[in-house]
Amino acid sequence: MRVLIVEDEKKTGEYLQQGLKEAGFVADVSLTGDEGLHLATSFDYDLIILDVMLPGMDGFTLLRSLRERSNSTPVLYLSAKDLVEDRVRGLELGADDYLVKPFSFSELLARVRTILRRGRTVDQSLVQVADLEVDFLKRRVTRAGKRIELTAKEFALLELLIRRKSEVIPRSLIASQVWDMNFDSDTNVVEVAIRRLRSKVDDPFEIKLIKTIRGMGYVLEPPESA
Amino acid sequence: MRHWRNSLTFRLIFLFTLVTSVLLIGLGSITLYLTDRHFLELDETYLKDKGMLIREISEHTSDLNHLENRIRSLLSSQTGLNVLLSIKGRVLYQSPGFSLPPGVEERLQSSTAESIIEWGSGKERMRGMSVNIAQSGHDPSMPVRLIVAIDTEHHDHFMSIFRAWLWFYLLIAILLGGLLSGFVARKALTPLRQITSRASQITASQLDIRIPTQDAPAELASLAQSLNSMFERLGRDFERLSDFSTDLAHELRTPISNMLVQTQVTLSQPRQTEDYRETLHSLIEELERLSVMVSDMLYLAKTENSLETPTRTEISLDEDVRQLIEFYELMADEKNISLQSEGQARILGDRLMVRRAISNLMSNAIRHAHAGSTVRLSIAVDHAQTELTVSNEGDTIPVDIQPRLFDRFYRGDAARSHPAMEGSGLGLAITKAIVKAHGGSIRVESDAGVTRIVLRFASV
Repeated sequence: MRVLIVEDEKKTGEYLQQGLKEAGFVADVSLTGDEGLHLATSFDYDLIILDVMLPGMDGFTLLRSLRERSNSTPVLYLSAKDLVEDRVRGLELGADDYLVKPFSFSELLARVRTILRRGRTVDQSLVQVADLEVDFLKRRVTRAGKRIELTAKEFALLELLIRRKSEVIPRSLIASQVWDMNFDSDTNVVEVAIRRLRSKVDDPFEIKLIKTIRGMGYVLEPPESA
Repeated sequence: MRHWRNSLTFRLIFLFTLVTSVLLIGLGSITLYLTDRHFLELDETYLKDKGMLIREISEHTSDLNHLENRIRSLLSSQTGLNVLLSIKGRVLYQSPGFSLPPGVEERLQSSTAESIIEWGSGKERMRGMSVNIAQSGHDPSMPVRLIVAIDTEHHDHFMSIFRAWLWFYLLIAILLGGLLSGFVARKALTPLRQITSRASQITASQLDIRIPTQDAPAELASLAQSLNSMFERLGRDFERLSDFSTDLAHELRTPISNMLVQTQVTLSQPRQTEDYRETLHSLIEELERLSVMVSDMLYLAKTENSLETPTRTEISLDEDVRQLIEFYELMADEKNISLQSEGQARILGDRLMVRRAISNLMSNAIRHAHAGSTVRLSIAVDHAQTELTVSNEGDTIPVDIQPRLFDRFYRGDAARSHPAMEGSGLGLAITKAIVKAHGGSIRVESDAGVTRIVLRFASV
């Protein structure tokens, strides 16, 4: 997976590049819009992370020129101004998603993966991680052959974690996906929900699957990759 | 420099001069017209009078030579009067130097008797009329024709001098009027200039200066009053803004200084990897708080300044409350608090904003509720108003600090607060801003250990 980062802030660009590389992506950084457009049209990227405010050619102009050339590479744009018109404009121009600065890296990574996953994978009806098994059709959870009863919200939370296994899921994404809380809300609730889920899925067993990544979020992964 | 057309003084001078000019030119024109008419009437009377006299003489004199002598002696004392008397085409008497230019004779013949005809011959201008003479005393087969005319040159001379003086006077009067109006306009606008100079003294550091309204003319007094009340509002807003900046700096100072000290101490000597990791984690926590605070502040600013205008869709309050309860019930459960809701209503508003407003209230209520108590959300519709009340059992909030609950960064239990557990301190301020953006109101009631926050919206 190859990602292009167009970001004039040098530090941000470098850290994003490092973070994405360590997460298994190939990442290029461009400091100006003109160079970014050149790179985007010369190479075949899977995703472009685009800062809206750039010296010279700004992000929206770059995005427009890209779409005018029938280049449909997915674009995730970053904005420092959280204005409705900016949001609408970017999405109208054909961007796939946006993030408002300051954002957390785990949030960015989760969004990047969501965009890249779109249309590529068919949701499996049965997912297994170690001895934990979730059957989405029957809405049944078993671990080591034992049936585990979950509430609807607990099931939705587990579904989110297991479908994106080995990915760090930020708390804000959990609040938004499970409870439809699409704004900065009290994320202590997510902590409580995770604790409850653990008490049913992890606590009775020796191997712990749900891990807390401090400051980032939660991840469900098989023990050997830890 | 502003365009001269925008100057009030100029406009006043222009309008005043315009009105003066129209009035004076009108007066001048009427005077000229009437004078001219007066001369015409004088001439007419004179010509008729003389025509009558000659007719009288000619009707009573049968001897033509005698008649000619009589007319001649009559006319010797009448300068400027010209007479042409002819009988059957033969000129009986013609004043010396008097002749009719071609065409005039026909005009005189075709006109009714004793009506004035004007003609010009060379530099002279004449007025004349034909007079009918009865045939008695003469041979009836011989037609008698009498034409009397006077030279109007002396009238024209008078009129041209009169006209020149009149227009000269009018021009002077208009110019003087313009100058005078300029003076009057400047004088009349003096209070306005005073207000301007006073208002220009008002700066950010001197917002307490006011424009005196007692001496101002009635028309300007209300302007001065509105300016004063605007300065009043600006002053208050400015004060709030500077308070906010101070609070903001204070709020930011604590986490920044925490991070600075922690990082410096960590780096002051070599440590275990685990220690570095611990420091970084702690930094993330502080940064997350800062990030939430910045986002909340921006959101608050946008909502208060109507940058984020709410969309108006019909939303079901009870449905939103139900979903929010689903979200918060885990947290409430941890504190052994139960959440209850009652009532239903629909309002017009922005769903995301309204949910955020209610969410802040619930988070707040759960945080301050006594363990084992109940947080109630009740919706009541009363005529055109819908009220949503969030109540919790907790410490009574003293009346004097109740209004401050909705201030930015105000934390009720400052002494006991655990910053990590608290929000940004902007939750209730955001709720208030959202409700206001929806044209609603918010109030707090707290007594006997129960605190209620009531949101009021217009019903659908």
